[in-house]
Amino acid sequence: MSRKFFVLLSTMLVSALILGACSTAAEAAPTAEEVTAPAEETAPTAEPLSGTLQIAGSTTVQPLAEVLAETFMEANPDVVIEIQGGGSSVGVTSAGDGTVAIGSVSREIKSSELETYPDLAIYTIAYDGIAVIVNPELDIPSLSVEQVRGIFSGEITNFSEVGGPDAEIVVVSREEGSGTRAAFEELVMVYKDENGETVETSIVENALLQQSNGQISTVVSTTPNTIGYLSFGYLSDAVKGIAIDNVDPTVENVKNGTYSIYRPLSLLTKGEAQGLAKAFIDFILSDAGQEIVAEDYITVQ
Amino acid sequence: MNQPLTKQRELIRLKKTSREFKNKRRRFSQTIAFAIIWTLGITAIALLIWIIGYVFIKGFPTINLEFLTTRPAGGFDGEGGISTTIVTTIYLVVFTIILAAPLGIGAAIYFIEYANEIKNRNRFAAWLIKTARTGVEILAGVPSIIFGLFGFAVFVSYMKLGFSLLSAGLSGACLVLPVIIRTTEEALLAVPESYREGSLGLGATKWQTVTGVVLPAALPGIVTGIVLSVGRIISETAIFWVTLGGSYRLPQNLMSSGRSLALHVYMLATETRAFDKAMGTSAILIVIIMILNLAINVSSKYFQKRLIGK
Amino acid sequence: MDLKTFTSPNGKKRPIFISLLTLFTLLLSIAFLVFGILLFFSIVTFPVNKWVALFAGMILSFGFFLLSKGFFTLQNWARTCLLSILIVILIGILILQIFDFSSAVFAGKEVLSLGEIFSNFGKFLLKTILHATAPGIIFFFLYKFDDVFSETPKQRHDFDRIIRNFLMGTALSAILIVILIFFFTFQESELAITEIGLKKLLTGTIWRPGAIIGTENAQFGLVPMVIGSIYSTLGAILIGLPLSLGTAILLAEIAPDFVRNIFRTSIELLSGIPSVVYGLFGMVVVAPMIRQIPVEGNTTGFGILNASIILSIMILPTITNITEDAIRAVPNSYREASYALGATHWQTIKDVVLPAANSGILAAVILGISRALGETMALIMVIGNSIAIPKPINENPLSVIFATARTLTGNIAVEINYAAGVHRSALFFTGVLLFVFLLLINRLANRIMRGNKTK
Repeated sequence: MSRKFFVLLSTMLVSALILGACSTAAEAAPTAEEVTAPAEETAPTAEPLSGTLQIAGSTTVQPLAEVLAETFMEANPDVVIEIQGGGSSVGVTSAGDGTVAIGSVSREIKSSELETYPDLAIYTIAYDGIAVIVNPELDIPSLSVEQVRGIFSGEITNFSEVGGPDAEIVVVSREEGSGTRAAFEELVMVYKDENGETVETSIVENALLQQSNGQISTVVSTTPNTIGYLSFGYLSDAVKGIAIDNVDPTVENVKNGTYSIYRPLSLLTKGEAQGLAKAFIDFILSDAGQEIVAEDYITVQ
Repeated sequence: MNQPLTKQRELIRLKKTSREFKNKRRRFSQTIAFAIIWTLGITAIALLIWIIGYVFIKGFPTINLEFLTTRPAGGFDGEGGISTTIVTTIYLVVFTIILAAPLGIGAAIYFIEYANEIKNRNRFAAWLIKTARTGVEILAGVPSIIFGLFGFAVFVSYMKLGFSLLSAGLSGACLVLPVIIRTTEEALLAVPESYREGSLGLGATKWQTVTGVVLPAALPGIVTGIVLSVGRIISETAIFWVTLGGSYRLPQNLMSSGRSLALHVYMLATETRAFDKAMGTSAILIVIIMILNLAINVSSKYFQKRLIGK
Repeated sequence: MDLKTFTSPNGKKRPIFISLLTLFTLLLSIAFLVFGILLFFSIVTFPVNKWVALFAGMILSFGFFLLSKGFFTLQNWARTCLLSILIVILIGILILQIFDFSSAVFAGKEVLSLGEIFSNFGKFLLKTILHATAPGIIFFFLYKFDDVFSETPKQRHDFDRIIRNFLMGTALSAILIVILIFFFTFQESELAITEIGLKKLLTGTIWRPGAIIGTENAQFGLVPMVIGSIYSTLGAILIGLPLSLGTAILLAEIAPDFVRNIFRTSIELLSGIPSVVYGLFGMVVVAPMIRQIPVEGNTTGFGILNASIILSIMILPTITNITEDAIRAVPNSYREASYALGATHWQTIKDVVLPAANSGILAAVILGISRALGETMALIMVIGNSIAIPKPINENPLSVIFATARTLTGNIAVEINYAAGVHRSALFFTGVLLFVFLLLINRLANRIMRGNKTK
């Protein structure tokens, strides 16, 4: 019995060998070089069309980067692009520290950050609107910016005060490292009062804090009486985007200037982008790349 | 109850004939108390069945060949399956065990086999060993997020290894080291002294005794420890959340990031609406852990029989 | 000395193969030295610091020289050395090939079909065999020629000592890791202590790390998180202790054997469930259930109640196991004496067994608390993560259980990825706090348990 098994096993191995040999011969290019030490493949190699690229940062940029990466990788099959989230501040610190090749952010870079990382290079790749969203079961007409501010700062606590049903408002927000939050705060929570003075209101203390656009979407869509904000790219029929001053949150409305809550999406590198990172960024800023951007976001032009 | 049978029967007889037992009121309060206790116990089991049952019922329908062989594709509805996460988990487990097992087994061998001679001779060495033992105890109690923090500070940031299998494996090795040391120590202690004496009597050196006689005898226990660590690594999330990164592609080498099964469940649950897929992945996780536990139980019983049979 | 006919101390002739090996290692030794010198003088370039290159070249050269000398005189240690090096090389080749194979098969959008897997497997075999041939042949022959080599008893003794010291090194690794953890986390948290001050950290009630535009007065008060941790742990103990205690008494005293086995395996199963699954369960099942409770102001289903429920289930196995062990450890003589005095079973349990198992139960509870305090991922998913101190949501003070909160562990996990500067340091301080506190608790529990065992 065991002899038969042995014969069968060796036949299988030999046939696998032959098949492997044939397919290796059939391939035009030889397979990758062998190194007996663990390979260092994260740094972009001299040849721009092979290697691994790591991108980390804004969860807003993440899905856009994924789509762009797919196209780029199809055109350059020896390239692998790995994309992570974490929030815009992760993008700044990882790119600044050199932990990843490209960091992504969905807000303006702060001066304190430029002080800490003076050689940060910024490449704006798109513009993105921020939509205020509520749980789809809530029937709320448009809101004004003042009302949104009141809700998120805790002054307005019941939906009935803004034309909705009688229910306590549950505020959902991003955590402090989020670019989306920073942009939202700057565009909505900060305002100039009658004397022209800048007043900063802060998001209410008992807001549920989430770590990414995706998490905001999940919480708002599955928990009743919630209100939150997220990037246009994450709008879906799972949540309801509220019109601000009767302007719907759509890409067209940002383009024609009626919807004013939007911010730049940028990629950061430590020093001038080089090699693989440069190739990828060039691709994004090219017509082909911007075409992909235009599907859900606003192009740089 | 490992008491001989007569003792057990004696106890039961005593319980049923005691004077208080015949008192109606006392009997009544006992019945109430026992009813409450049975309820508590059954509630505990019911909770378990509820959780596992729910996860299985919601999860199994989503598991099919496509689910297992497709790569996760992100997106709000959590498209794709879990193929790369399974392989990444395997990479992670293998790499962590490769790092932790030699270190842990070596340390345990030292504590049990060699440390006794030194203790009497050299005060400083004795103190060192005692501190090392305390160190193992301390490590065992540290919560996993601290290991994650540590791994993040040392491996990801300071040593610039970034989010990679390497950082995750190193952090994971720190986590399971105490487990391996403890179980190996117990396994080594269980080997009868006569084995060692016999081998030394035949003229073997200490090291030859250890590798040729003691280790093979203690192997089942050591394997149990390793399997326990494997289970621990598979279930861990916090520590890999901060060291492995979250990319859903397959890591190409030790420096790439990836996503383990448990991490994928977390991502699915919080970033997407695909709760059924999260349940499916959880179901697979639970099944894997169940199989591991079963393997431990069966193998330890088998090896115990062999040892006793000798 | 005639090279070809040199005989080893065993009296055997040196085979030609070994002579070749001697030559080979000697050549390698010279090559490393030359390479090191060339790199140092930048005649050849390689992405390595030139001092490191020179040093490494010299060390490697010396090592291989010793090795060749060992082969020349047919020493056993040389053979062992080379065999180990070859094993490492072979395993390295295997691992690299496995990575390649695995990437080819699994990395794509879909796993490849069976036929393609088979042909890839063939490629894997082919490449492995190709690369492993040279080292493999050397290994094989070296292995076979073992009786040509010899070693003196002194060498054997020395080897033993080397092994012993090496093992001591591994044993010290455990304490090395603890020291490293202490060192790094303490060091990283130092900035927070100097810039924010212990008082503000430990007694401040606002946690706003300061990503607010323009506001530079960031606040780092940990009190909300401490309260969040305490409340959720307290809740977990309130729910979990009766359950665990009851189950433990049931298993140790009352239940028949077959019930005991069922319970035991179930509890083992419970302890194996990953914490994310509990978190998932809490999000998807417990949260909607809590939302149904008709309490004013109860809207989200996330919060302390949710956290307490799933936390209690998580610590159930810990407390139950240790309590059961403690109860069983109570000597039967206690029970017999009690029955002899006429007590019922329940009276015995209540007045004799449980007090005797007191310390064990206490240890179990303490360990359960430490487990609850250290839990992270499951709690992040269900407790809401808001930065406010949990307050009752209506007039009834008990309704605080419906409030959302954040735990110390959750604080670290949620913000560590992007924290920088003082913020990051504050998070490490949180870690230090947790570490030290749990350390003390665990030592306490261990001491109680050990005291119990010596009874």
